[in-house]
Amino acid sequence: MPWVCALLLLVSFAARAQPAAPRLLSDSPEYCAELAGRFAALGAEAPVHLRVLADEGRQLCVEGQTRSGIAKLRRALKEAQRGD
Amino acid sequence: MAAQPEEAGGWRDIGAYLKSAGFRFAALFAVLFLAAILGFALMLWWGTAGTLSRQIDDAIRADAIGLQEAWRSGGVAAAMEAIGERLAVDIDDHAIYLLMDEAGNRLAGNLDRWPSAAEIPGSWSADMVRRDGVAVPARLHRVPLDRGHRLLVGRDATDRENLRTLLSEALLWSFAVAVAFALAGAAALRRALADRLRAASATAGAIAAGDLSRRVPLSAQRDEFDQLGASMNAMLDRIDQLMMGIKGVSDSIAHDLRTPIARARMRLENALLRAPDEESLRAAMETTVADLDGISRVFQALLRIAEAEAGARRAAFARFDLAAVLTDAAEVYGALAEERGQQLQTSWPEKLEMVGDRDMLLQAIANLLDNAVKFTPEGGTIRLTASAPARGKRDISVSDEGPGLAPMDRARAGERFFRADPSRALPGSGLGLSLVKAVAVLHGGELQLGDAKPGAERPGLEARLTLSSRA
Repeated sequence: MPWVCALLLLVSFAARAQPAAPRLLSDSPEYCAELAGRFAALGAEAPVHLRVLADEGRQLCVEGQTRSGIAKLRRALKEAQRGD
Repeated sequence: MAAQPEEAGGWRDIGAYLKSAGFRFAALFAVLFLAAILGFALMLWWGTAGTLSRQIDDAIRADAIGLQEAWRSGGVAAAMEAIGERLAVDIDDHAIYLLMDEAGNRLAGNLDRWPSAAEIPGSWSADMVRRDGVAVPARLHRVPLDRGHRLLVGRDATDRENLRTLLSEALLWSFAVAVAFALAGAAALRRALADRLRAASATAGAIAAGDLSRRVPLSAQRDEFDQLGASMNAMLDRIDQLMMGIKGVSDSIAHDLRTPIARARMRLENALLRAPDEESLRAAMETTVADLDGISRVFQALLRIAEAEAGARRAAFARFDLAAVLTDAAEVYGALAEERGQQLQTSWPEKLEMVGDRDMLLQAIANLLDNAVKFTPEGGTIRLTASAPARGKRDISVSDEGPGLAPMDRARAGERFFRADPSRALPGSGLGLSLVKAVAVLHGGELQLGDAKPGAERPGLEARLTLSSRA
């Protein structure tokens, strides 16, 4: 029994010693705000339907649905870029 | 300890099974089948998961080149702006970037820190990154930059890994099914082979046990096994025929030589008991020596026939002029015919080159001429002709004006010791035509017998030897 406990401890230490994988930051509310700012920088040049899409994305981020919000903002930005 | 021989027998059975042709064919089939399945799986993997991997690497490579261009043209600011722009329009949310300065500060990108797997500049690696707290696989490439900066370009490889997992499971199951099919197919193949060979094996066993009448049964399929069976049957028929021949020869030897041997013995005994003087005793002994010489000649003829039939002399075949051989034979028998008031007519081309056994052919021609002289009446004509009817073919014909041979007798004329009724009164052993026939076969030809003058009162006999000069 003691050797089983020692083995478990060793495994647990080894797991703790392993550094955690790097984290992706592009699904955070901060990034959502960064995208909203990027869209806002386009100003009144963006077509109305893309502004509506970007607003929806911003709203989703505010409501906590960050990934959906980011996706809408990215789509709006891509469409705007394509329009350019 | 008593179980040991049984155990050894078991291992021997397994060893014999593994060495059997049926098992080896079945194993070959299984291996080929599995190799085909493996090849198919590799192609499928290469065409799906492999293609996806190559597409991911191509996208990363293109991204890296674009960012290196931005770095070279605008420095850190341009690279940061390019990364920001690329991340902003990444609708699939698969892109991974990280730009760090020489002090290790994050300048741009969407990773919180540098992954340990991407330490070497220019390296490609597979690592895990966390998205919403969940570890997901990623493909990463460290792009070499100057001034101590570090750039990482990568892609989320979750889709690729999912496809790999699905494909692996599907292929694993397929392989398991393929193994089952291969084993079942191999077993069926082995059984089919064993079934087809069983009849031939049973026949061979029965023949080995002494039942020479057994033959391999043939199926209606006419396949390779039937061809093998037919060949075996033909071989058995031939062996049967040869054995019958040997038996016939043994019987004939016993029958035909018993009389002269008994006669010689009786003559000696009579001379021993009743010879009035030394002169009579000497005369009896001389006659007996002549009789024994005759017996010796019969044995010599039998040996020559056996030698010709076995083809043992084929190794001594040489090129010679058949015309010269015919001339030699005609010289000897022309004189003999003249003595008996007969005429020998000859006809052949000046040269008749051929490859064969000169001595054997001379003996065969002599035998035919001897018969012709023996059966042709006084004043009759004997014809000896030869020709080359086709390239590589030689014909020799001897015809006489004797009584000829009945069709039934012609069929048996090549048998050892066979003598047709009209010839029984004449001297001879019944081995002459046997030797001629054996010599013809030795030279890739045959002996044909027919009427010299069909429809005539005395049709005579024409003996035609057709030979192959390239035998």
